[in-house]
Amino acid sequence: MAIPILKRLAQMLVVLIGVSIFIFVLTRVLPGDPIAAALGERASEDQIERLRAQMGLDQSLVMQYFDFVGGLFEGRMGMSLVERRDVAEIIAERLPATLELVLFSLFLAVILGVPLGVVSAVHRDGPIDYASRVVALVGVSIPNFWIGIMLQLFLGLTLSLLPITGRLDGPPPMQITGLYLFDSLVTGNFAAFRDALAHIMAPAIVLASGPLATITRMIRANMIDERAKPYSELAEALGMHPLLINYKYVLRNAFSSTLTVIGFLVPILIGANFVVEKVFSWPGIARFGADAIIASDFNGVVGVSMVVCSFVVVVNVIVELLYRVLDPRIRLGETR
Amino acid sequence: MTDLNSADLGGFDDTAVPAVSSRRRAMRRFARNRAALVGLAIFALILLVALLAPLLSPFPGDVADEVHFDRLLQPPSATYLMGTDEAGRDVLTRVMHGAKLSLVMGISVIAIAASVGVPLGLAAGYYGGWTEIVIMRITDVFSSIPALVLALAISVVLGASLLNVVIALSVVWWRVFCRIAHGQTLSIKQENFVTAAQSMGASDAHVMFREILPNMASSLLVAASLDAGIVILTGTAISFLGAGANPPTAEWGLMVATGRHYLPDAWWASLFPGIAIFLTVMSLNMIGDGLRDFFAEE
Repeated sequence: MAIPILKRLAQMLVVLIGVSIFIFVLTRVLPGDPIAAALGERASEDQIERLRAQMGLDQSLVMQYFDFVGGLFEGRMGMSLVERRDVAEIIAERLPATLELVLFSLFLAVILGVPLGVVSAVHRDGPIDYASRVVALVGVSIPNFWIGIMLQLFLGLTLSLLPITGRLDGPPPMQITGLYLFDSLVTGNFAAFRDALAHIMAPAIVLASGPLATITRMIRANMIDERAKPYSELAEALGMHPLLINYKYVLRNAFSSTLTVIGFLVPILIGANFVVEKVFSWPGIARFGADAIIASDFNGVVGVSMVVCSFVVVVNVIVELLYRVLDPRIRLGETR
Repeated sequence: MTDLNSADLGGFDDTAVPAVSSRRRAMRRFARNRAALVGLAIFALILLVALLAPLLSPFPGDVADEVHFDRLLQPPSATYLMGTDEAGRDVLTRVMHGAKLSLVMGISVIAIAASVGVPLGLAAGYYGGWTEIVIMRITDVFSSIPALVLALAISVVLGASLLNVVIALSVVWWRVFCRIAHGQTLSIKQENFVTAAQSMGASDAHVMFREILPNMASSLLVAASLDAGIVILTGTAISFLGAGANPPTAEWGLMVATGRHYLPDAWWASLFPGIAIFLTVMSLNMIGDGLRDFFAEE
């Protein structure tokens, strides 16, 4: 089991190096002069040159790239033009907010999407099935920046049900992981937990809507396929209770193929998060990244891209591992 | 799926009589087609609006940067069915004109992406070896960066304009078609008719484009209609973030972004352009799903 995983990791490393070179070159060919823009109109030629040298922009592209890679090993990612401090520092500060939002959304999508898909498949063509298919169709078709704004308008401003921006109103819980929901629960700080939960709800619903729809559709289709396979028929013929067949055998098999989908949903979720964090003023790395892209803050763009891509790559490796655990054919095939 | 294999065996189904279940299946197929037909009808309507917007829209002048100080942010009324925006322009007129921009964007990105991605995927699957390794690793690189993030970055590098959004999205989307073409080629090239063509001395180009390509047309068509929707969602998001269409362009994402500043009072300025995006994408999804079911049944 170790060797294919190692091989996959090596492949992923090649991909990450490719990504870093691509993004690095892309940000260095930016039109205009980000340095002059960052310093403002009153800056003298001398000041601009000094900052340019300080940022290493007077060196060749190849030298700059190796400087960047060298810096990574020392935990540096270069100075952000927008915030005037090291990008690694900014990302470290903002990463927990993004992780919390992304993981919570994925959690919502799975705990709602899987049962919805199961119910849909079991009651195929019934009213519940039609309703869940409509929900799934709406989920994949709705622009998330727009539904975010509409949620803010109706749930927040009109009905005053939910806070519409930020992570917290009250004081933050004791810092353990930086994930407020987790930290507050562990330290028994239920006021902070309620506060954090209310704040995360609206952005998480928006972020979860697309993945929720995809998971529901996938589970439904897979369960219908699995139910048609000979093993299901045999179990049925032997008089096994339909509930047992559905939940013990069919769902397990349907879920393992759905796992792959969760793997490809993560990059989509992270991409959508760039819009969602912006709409809900969520203090995560995606909002910093979106601002950095718009402001031509090249070190910021490279840093956020690298973190995002590493996350995507790591999730893919984890999904592959889980896939092996869930699917005995792959597990057994290798030990033989 | 044979008669007895289908989900009718599911213990929750109380209609075990074959005659009933076959009627149920027929209904099911009808319902599926009906969804695709509804999608097609919505799409045709949007296409018609896009083509005829200059004739149909009530205030054609409001597409540009006209300002009407006498009717700023009017709520929907009989004259202004979707209200007016912050410059007093008719929202309905602008939503109608926006249809053309979004459709052209979706269609051109898919066309460019497919004409780059499909030949690359074909070559990777057909030749194998280093060709495959190099092409598929580059595809991996592009796949590990979220589409919106990469397209946004490229749009900013090129400068904010709708044309640049199309270019940026094409640079991002070729990988989708490359992957499909690659996967399909791997399975199709095992077929006997491919071996037959090769043994009769057909050139590689002939085998790839005349023998293999037609056999993946259905998969490509399904992907094209489903991805056109995602392209439109991504493109409007880029304009929403300020790196796409420039004001006063009547672009849906930009209209939502501008209208957002006048919430919660003038909700109509951002509500209606969003509904337009939603309906367009939904119709493409319904068509794509319908096509997929249709080809699956064949």
